[in-house]
Amino acid sequence: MKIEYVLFASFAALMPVGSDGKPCELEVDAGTRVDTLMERLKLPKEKAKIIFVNGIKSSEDTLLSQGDRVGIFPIVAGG
Amino acid sequence: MDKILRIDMSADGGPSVNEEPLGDLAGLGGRALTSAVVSKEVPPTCHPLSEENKLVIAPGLLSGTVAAMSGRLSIGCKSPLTGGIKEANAGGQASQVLARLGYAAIIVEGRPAGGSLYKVFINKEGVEVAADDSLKGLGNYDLVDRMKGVYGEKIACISIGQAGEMKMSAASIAITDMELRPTRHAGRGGVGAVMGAKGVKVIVLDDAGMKMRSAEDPEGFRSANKEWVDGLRKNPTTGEGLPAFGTNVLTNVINEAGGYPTNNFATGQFDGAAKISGETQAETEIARGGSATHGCHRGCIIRCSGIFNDKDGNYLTKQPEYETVWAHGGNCGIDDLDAIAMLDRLDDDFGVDTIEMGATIGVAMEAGLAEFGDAQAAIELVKEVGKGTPLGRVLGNGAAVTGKVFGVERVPVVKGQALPAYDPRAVQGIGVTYATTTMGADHTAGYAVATNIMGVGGEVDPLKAEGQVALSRDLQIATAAIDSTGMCLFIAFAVLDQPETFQALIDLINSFYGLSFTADDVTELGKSVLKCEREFNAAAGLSAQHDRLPDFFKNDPLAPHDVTFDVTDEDLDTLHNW
Repeated sequence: MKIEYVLFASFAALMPVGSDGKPCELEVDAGTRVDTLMERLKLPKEKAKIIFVNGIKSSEDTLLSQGDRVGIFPIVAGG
Repeated sequence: MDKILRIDMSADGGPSVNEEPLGDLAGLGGRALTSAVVSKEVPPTCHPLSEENKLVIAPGLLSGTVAAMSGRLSIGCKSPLTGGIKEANAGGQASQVLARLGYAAIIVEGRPAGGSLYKVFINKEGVEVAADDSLKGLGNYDLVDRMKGVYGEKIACISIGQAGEMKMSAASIAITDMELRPTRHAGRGGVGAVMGAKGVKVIVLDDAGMKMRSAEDPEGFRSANKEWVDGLRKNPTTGEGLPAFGTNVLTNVINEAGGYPTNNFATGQFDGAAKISGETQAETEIARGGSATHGCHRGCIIRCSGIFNDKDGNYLTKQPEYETVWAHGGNCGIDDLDAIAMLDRLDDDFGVDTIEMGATIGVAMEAGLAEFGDAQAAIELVKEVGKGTPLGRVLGNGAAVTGKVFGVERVPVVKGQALPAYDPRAVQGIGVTYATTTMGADHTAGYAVATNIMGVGGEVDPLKAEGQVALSRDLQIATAAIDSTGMCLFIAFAVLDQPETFQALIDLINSFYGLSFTADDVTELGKSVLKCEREFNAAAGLSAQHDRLPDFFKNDPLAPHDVTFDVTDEDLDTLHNW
């Protein structure tokens, strides 16, 4: 199934070259969870603090569905 | 910090200056001090521009010491914007310098009889107040250049631009940074208008010859500061995230969360977010020879700020903050970072609150004065403010006034103050803070975004009402205490997650003053500050009916999550029960 993902802040370096902050499409197996996706993208799981699936706060255990958009941030803050 | 400086602008024969001991204000700093003075000495029903209002400028308990992060300044008064009590807070150099000069506060009282504009100069020899009408009409940047010419380069300035002189309710007070630029602002609530009403254009501070304040227990202080610095460095937010990307890293976060107010709070996501994100901003700054890691005051180790140069590599403004980029960016449909930086520069120069100004332009666009997304039109509108044209005076008085003048329904304000960069429908915890804080719609007063979105200090679902009142209450109390210490609020990210770092903060206060505060005492301090603010507001005529968001947040669902603000009025009214 197809999903799309964006990696932000210091994780942006792990996006494909030329993606320029835009989401990338990926083909994944049914039953894939966020943590499997992170492993595949070589993203250090322990640093992934803010995870959104379709804009909903999620966790590494969240199961992905067809057409989902995943956004992952390291620990960030602002005001 | 053993004395209070009172400047009476009404005195016969010209402003008079008086120093007095701390008295009842002993043991107070920052917001605790400003709110104590305002609630005791300002008649709650006075006109905010009258001689009865007071402008209270106070460093924090630990300002002027070697404790890291201790350079915040509190400025308090009755707000011309909200009609209630106000504490506006800024970084920059003034707090450290004022504290080392020995002042726990400057209290500006009264109002000059004639139309003169005054400058104040404070150094180790004393205080001079002199009329200087040649300063009239200067923007903050030119003003600071003038002051450098007269007093040298080792000064810190507290000043107003044209907006404050014209007593506009969105007027800010500028504080100079380490590069002596007027880039840090006590922004919210029109404190600049009160300074203007009192005829003070600038307060120049020079602490040459003064020493760092020394602790009662120097060994204990040194060791607490080491633990404090270690805690801030090892925390990923304060040690890595903020230095690299600054506050504007939030553009992508809040946009991804569907809570990014777009086109005057019409929807919760902005197509242009990536073009104005913290990531893009940092990359741009570095490419143009600016900086993405920069501290706003000496002693800051987080360094969340930066330097933004224009396309030719010339200095334009400091790194615009998330709130500024949102207000002038997605809130106005603008995705041009250079235009946003120019707007930030204009706001700083005229001396207006960037949140209020951006929200106002959004309302002006809703009114049809410009198209959403038209950056050049937004720049022209802000320039009207600096010129003081009739339109400029309307805009310079904020989103509520502008909405009224142009017959706009969707005006995002609480107690007359514009909402910051988080839609309360999708981040309901911050919605509770906006509604219930004594300050008007204010995000820093109880930053529930940290828990709702970033998962700091727990997890509370941002899209639901459950748990939001308790979250906001705890944060409002803690923040009122932190605002009294002179510490930058960003320490909260480390302090909320690392108990040993919270203890280090308490140890810093105890070893400096020879006290034995506990965590409970810190909570009690926060509560007592909020209590005196609530009492002032009630006497000023603010009631539970003002602790509400505008109805459209309850009625109009926000895309993409299709949510409304669901915390009930009854629940909002329980926030201040403790």
